[in-house]
Amino acid sequence: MPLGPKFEATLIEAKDGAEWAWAALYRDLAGPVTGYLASRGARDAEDLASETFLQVARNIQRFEGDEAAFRSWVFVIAHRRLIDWRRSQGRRPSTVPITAHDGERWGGDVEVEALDHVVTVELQQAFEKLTDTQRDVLALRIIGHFTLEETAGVVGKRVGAVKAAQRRGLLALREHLDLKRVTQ
Amino acid sequence: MRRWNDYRGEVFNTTISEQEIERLLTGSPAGDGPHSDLAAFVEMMRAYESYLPPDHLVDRVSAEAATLALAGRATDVTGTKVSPPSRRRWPALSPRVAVAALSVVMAVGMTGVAAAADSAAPGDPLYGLDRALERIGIGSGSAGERLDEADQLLTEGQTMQALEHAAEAIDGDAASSAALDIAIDRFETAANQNSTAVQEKVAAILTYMSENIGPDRGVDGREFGQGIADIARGIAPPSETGDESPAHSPSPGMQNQPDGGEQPDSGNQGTRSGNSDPPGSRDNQGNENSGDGNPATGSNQGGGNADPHGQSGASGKGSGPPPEAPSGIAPGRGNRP
Repeated sequence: MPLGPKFEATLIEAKDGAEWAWAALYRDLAGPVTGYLASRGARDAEDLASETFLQVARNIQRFEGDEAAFRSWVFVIAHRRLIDWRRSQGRRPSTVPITAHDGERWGGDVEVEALDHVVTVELQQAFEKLTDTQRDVLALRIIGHFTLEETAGVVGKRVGAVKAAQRRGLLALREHLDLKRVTQ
Repeated sequence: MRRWNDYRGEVFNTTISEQEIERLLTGSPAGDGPHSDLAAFVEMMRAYESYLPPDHLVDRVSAEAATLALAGRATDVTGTKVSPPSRRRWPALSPRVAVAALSVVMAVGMTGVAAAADSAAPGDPLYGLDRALERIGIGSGSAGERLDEADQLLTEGQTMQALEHAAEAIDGDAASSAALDIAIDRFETAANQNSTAVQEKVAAILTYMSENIGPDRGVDGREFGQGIADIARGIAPPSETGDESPAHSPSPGMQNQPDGGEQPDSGNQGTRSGNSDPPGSRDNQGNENSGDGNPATGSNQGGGNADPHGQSGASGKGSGPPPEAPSGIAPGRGNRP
């Protein structure tokens, strides 16, 4: 839920060091940010998300812009954290299955329970076969609700490259699902 | 209407239109239709959003954040965190490029022209300027951008140009360039240059390159060349070439490449902090900070590449070149004789 008209005032208060303002910003973005990190394989997505927010706080005085710009900026930092983390792992991380998470925190949405476990695993395995860029782009577009242009800004690529990555990613996903079905 | 997971048992197309992609990624997925498999995937991904932070975490993070925000204000007021001197942004500026850039800047204004040139593709009139700006460190620049353009060329069916463009991206790294040259040779002798199989190989090379190039990747020059060569070898039927020796044999010294992946986290904090700044804070490209604050504006894409000059060697250890090579080009380029 975006803060909408309240964002401007919240940002001013956040710069002023008001805890309530930070709580509002964090509650608003923790879902998509943590979800993005978890979908991209971060085992400790919750920790990475809070580190992201602390980094945001360190630099907040120099941020100017509206809520959409803020969202993008937060994800730029989250994305950098993800790359650092990925590098520290030294291997290709797999998606953390949503079903592996604490039911209380991830089950706020009834949809989660409706997910067929077998199908979810199948989809996630197919997703893991995509390239990092394809996965980054698809996760940002779906979980972060970013436009093509915003996504390009977050991952630091051109719009054309993002477009190509999402198309290739979706088609590769379909191919993996198909293969899986044939071999079963 | 069927349930979202009814995609199993269906047969799906190998094509999908841009509109359909957009609808899939932004709309609420429909459980049926020609893309119900992908709709199921989108719905699975959406579930990740449902995370709710526990109250104790909200309390802890917001308390710490509030303190850090105030600390940031204090340093800003005392002026200790002003932007770096402008000289840092203009390293090794050749007089010719300087004059060209300066005259354009005066005519149009920095941000506008950087943004416009930044999106110029090869063949566009702005492309030369794009390259010139990159050389002096404006815009996202560097190898990553070359590769994105190569990717774009490939999607337009210009496979050969895509490969050549990719070779340009790593110009200066002997092992990788040699490996890519093999790819180009193979492509030239391939029976059917525009077959899907060949294009897939080229796409695979580009993907590999874009994911393993630059300061953020943990692959050294030797591995990088090897990776390209491995994919390239699959391009053409090796009818008479037989067991040609791969051209990715490491040049001396390449093994000494410090592995970026092994840097301690604390080192990352230091070198990375620049990337986490609000983009406008360090790249005052002639505007007032507000436009640049939004990473989506395009004038400052690629936080990793935007300001490499100040951090080279920040975590320098060992005898090789700094892991964050200044231009963000191929790993190992500083190591060659």
